[in-house]
Amino acid sequence: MHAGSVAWLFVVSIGASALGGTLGMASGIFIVPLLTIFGGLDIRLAVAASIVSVIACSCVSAASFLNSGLTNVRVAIVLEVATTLGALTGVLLVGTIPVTLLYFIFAVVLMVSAWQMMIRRRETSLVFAEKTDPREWATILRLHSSYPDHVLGRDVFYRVRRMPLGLALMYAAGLISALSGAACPL
Amino acid sequence: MTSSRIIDGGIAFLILLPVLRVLLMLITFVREGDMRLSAIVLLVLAIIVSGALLGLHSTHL
Repeated sequence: MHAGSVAWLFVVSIGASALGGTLGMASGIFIVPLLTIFGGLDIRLAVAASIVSVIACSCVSAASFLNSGLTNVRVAIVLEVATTLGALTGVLLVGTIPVTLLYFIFAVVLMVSAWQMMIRRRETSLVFAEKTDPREWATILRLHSSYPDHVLGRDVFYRVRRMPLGLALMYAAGLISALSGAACPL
Repeated sequence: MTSSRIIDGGIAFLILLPVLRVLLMLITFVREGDMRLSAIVLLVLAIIVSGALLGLHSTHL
């Protein structure tokens, strides 16, 4: 790889990350098509490069979320069980999946992301921590938490519900991001 | 030759960062005496390690 293409990749990556960050998406969504269409790279190599860039982007943005107290670390680590399992499945599958199917999966991820950007997210009402079901997973693992609300100027307590559904979705997210290299928009 | 090794080292460091974060969580949960969460963190670490081993031994690409 000569100096010219390195400089080109550097500039393009900054652009992709800036655009991705503004849209609330990881840069992977732009890096994979850039590398495959303009760089002529094998999609599996592009996915590998994209996953590394997703780590960097996530590390940078996670710090500010943690700082503002919005991250529920306990929920995150429980969900991570499913995400890592999904990614492990993806690693096992990626060698056997034909490249055409990888392109197809990536296309579907792009369309779902586009759809999510287009529709306005409906405001889901928080469930406050008055009554907690002692048999619920979230209660057993003490996942219920609070976040600082800057509008109200106080901490808002909330209940965590439907952990099994969350775990199932996170499994799919891990699997899809391992295969497509785009952080899954689930 | 050396430049590609430097790049490899950088990528390895980047990959290790979140793993170190999980390790740090394990230490804090064990210190807090929260054994359920500690077990979950251990499970995550086990999955990560098995994934890494699997990746190192696979021959595709």
